[in-house]
This record gives sequence, C-alpha cells and structure tokens, in this order.
Amino acid sequence: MLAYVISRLGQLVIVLFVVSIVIFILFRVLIPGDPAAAMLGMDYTEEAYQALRRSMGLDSPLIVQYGRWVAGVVRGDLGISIVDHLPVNGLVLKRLAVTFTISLIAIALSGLIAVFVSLATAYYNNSWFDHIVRTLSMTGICMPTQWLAILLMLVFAVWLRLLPAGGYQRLSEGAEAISYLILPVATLVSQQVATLVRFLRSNVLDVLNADFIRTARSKGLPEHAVLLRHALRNSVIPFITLLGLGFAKMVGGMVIVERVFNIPGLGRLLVRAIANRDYPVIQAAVLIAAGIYVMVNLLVDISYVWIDPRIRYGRRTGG
Amino acid sequence: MARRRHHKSKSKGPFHQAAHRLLKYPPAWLSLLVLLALILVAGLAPHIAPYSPYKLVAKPILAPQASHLLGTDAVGRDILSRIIYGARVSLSIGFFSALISLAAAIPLALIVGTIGGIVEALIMRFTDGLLAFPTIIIALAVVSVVRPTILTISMAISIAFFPRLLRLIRSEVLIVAKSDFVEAARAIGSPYLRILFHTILPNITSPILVGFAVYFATAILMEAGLSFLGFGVAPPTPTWGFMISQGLVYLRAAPWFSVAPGFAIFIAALALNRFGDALRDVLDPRILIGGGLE
Repeated sequence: MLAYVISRLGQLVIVLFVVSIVIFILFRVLIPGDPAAAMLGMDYTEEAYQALRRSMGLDSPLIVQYGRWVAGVVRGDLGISIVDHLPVNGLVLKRLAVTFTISLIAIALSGLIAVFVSLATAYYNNSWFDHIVRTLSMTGICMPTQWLAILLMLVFAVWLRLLPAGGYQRLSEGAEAISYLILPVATLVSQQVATLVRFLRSNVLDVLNADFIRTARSKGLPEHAVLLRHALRNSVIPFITLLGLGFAKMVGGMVIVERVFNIPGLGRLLVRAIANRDYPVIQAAVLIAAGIYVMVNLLVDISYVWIDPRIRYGRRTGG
Repeated sequence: MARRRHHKSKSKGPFHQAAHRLLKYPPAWLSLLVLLALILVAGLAPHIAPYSPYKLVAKPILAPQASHLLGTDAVGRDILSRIIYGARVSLSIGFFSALISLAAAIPLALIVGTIGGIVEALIMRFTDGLLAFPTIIIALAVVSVVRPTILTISMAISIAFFPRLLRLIRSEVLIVAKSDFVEAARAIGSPYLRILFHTILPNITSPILVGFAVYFATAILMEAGLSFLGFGVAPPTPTWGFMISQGLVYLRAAPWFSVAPGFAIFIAALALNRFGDALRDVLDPRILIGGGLE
C-alpha cells in the first residue's frame, strides 16, 4: 500500500510539472501584450518602463522567469497582482474558501442523492420511475448551467421571493448565510446528479444481474440487505471514479454559477483576471484548479485500493 | 458484435444495415428531424428571421407580442431574429470543434494505441497532465490569447476536448488492435499505415460517430458558457450564450430575454445527445463515450 501511494505521489509530481509548464507557456509566452506596460497605464516614460520591467524580473530569460515562478510557488508565494497591486496569495485564498465551501457541499449532496437514485432506478428497471429519472437525467445534462441557474433564480427568488437572488455570506455569519447557498448548490447538484445517474444506472444494473445477488436472495436475505449490503458495495468503485471525473465538470459549473449568482469565488476572480490580462492571478487560479483536480484523482486512485483488495497495488495501468 | 467484426464488404455493409435500423428507431429519426430543422433555420436565417438581428427595430424591452414574438432586447433589437441568427454561431462552433478535435485525436490515437512502449507511456502521461485542466479553463485560457472568431473559438474548444478524445479513442484502438484480423494483417506483411487506416480505423467508426454527436452537443454547451462569460464571438454578432447574460439584468422585468436563448441551446444539445444515444443503441451499446462528463 505504502509503495503504491509513493509511486502515485511520484506520478503526481510529474503531472504537476507538466501542468506548470503548460500554464507558463500559455500565459507568459503566448499571451500578447506586455504586463509592465499594462501596469503603467497610458502615460509613461521609457525609464520608468525599463525600471518596472527589471523590478518585475521580465528582463531575464524565460527559463529564469519560469524557475523564479516555480520557486515562488513551492515557497507558497504566488506573486503580486498586476491590477490590484496586492499579493495574489491573499486574493486567491479568500475566494478559494468561498468556492471550496460551495463545491464541497454540492459534491457531498450529489454523491449521496446519486447513489440512492441510481440504486432505485436500476432496481425498478423499465418502470415509470426509471423512465422519469432517465428523462430528467438527460434534461439535466443538456441544460446549459447558466440557464438552469437563471430558471431557479426566476422561480425561487423573483417570483416566489423565498430566497435571495444572489450574493454570498460566510457560514460563520449565521443561519441566513444558508439561504444564499441554496440556489447555487441546487444548480450544481442537479447537473451533477443528472450526470452521475446516467452512468451509474447501467453499472448498478450489471451488479443486480450478477450471480452473487441471486445467491444473496436465495439464501433468504431481506431485499434491503441485498440492495444496501451487496449491490451498493459492489457499485462503489465506478461511483468513486465518476465522482472524481464529475469534480472537473463541477469546476466549470462553478465558474458560471458564480457569475449568475454574483458570488465572490475563484471562478469570478479568474474570469476578471483573464479579461484584465492579470497573469499572476490567472496562473495562480489555474494552478490551484488543476492541483485540486489532480489531488482528487489521487485520492480516488488510493481509495480503489483501500476499498477493493482485488486491485493490486501498482499494477493498475492508465485507467 | 458488429463493431468488432472485420469490415470488408462494400455493398450491403454494416453502414447500410445501421442506417436502416436507425430510420426504424423513433428516438433516432426524431432527434435527427429536430437537428435538420435547426440546421435549416441557421442556413436560411436571412429568409426566416422577421427582422435584421443588428438593427434597432422597436422600443427596448418590449414584451412578446404579435409583431415581436419574443419581444425586444435592451436596445430594441428583435430577440427572435437574434436567436435565429445565433443558431449559425452555435451550430458552426459545435460542428467545427467536434470535427477538429476528432481529426487531431484519431490519427494520434491510432499511433499511440499500437506503438506501445516508452513513447506511448510518455504521451499518455502528458495527456494526464492536460486532463488536469477543466475544459472550460483551457478554453477560457486559449480564447484570452486569440481574437474571438468562430474558428478560433472552435480551436480553443478542440484543444480542451483533445486529450479526452485521445484517451477514449485510444481505448477503442487497444481493443481492436488485439483482435485476430489485425494479427493476420500483420502476419501477411501489411504496411503499418495500411493496418492503421484500413484494418483498425473501419472497426472503430461506431465510437467515432457517437463521439462526434456527443462532442458536438458538448461544444455547443461550452460555447454557450464561454460567450455567457463574455469570451464568445465579439458583439454585435448574436450568440445564444451572450444573450442570456445580457438578459440577466432584466430578469425581473423581461424574463423571456434570458430564458428564450437558453431554451434554444437546450434544444440543440438535447437533439444531438439523443441522436448520439440512438446511434449507440443501434451500432453498439457498449461504446464508452457518453454525454455529460465534460
């Protein structure tokens, strides 16, 4: 187990290295426009420009700039924002907390709902319940996130006036903060559940047709024990894989949900930074998003081994 | 087993059979019908649209009425006409994104899936690195670098799709490459490229076709997301995604402004995903590619 975890951590380092190079090339080499000139605004002298370039380290060769950036990241220093002139660390951390809270709640809820819904649809295969769930799932997948969010906002905030139409309060500020979370979380959860159920349903169906389920029934186990103890447990691996993949989809959803509901999260920061060509902030936000995704998938891989002893450590290929 | 069998006959080939079954399968031709209707609307936009999508034709924020079926937008342009013209942007970007990403992924997947060894391992590790970026973030990053046009946005979305398609098609190549007829082709000394494109490629057409439909739909949703965030084809060209964001401010007074273009995106994505599902049901239910995971 330990050797497996260590080898996966080794791969993680390689993947993060690739990620950092891609980010650097994309935002430092390919983006047109000079950040120093952008920082100075419309009116500046040549001396001031050269001095700023030197102080930002833009006059060094690219490889040195890359080395400096990576060294900074390793030390936990993400640089200074070109637009706000503030350390990126502070900007990013505050917003990361917001995005993290919302996506964690959404992931947990959607996982829980998806397991039971797909268990039920597979159990009542081809019933009216199954058909309704499958239709809803297809609908959820095909709805643009912003549209679903706006429809929910229209019904629950504008017409029924039950919930606020946007904004965000920290959970520590009391119960009212929860009302701000409901619509964004509902948007993310509906789409996540729609995706998860679509793929999980066929998995659970395979499990329900397996021999060991017949054995469990024939030895007289009650139906709920067959479902919850045998069927559920054997559907866990594909479920965890999907949850890991779904996490990447959720990041995309977050960017849009934050815009619709005016939530001060990482997604809004990223969109604003891209519009302003604020490259230290873009690099940091993208690096964090990619880093979290890689970590989640590492946890997914490790949990396979932990859950299912049949998977041999270190012998999984690609997958 | 249709997919795994060696494709050889020309006349009554598997494609004739598949097309025949497709036309007898209601979900398939229904979604195809909706799709054709959308393509017609986009193609004939100047003849169908009641007004110009650019001209100010009435007072701003009019409610839906006989002369403006979906009302007017914030400056007094006809929303229905803008949605009809918006179909052009959405459908072309969806089509080109699916086409470009597949055209790039197929040859590389054929090579990577058959070559093995250290080269394959290196390429797949690199792909893993690219997979770490959520698609919308790659697309946003690329769009921020280039001037947004239909072609550059299609390229941006293709770059985001590419590593995902490469993995999916490679897994299909791996299955076919192990089969006896590929071994036989090698044994009789067929050249490498001939094996790739004449022996393996015809046997992975089903997943490629399904993938095309599904990624067409996904690209439409992604374009809608990009233009909603303000990174789509530059205004005044109408795009469905940007219309939603323009309408957001008027949600209370004129909900149809945002809701109508969203519905158009939904219908387009639904028709394509349903068609992809129907294709899979008809061709081979075990195909791995499915909508919704990007």
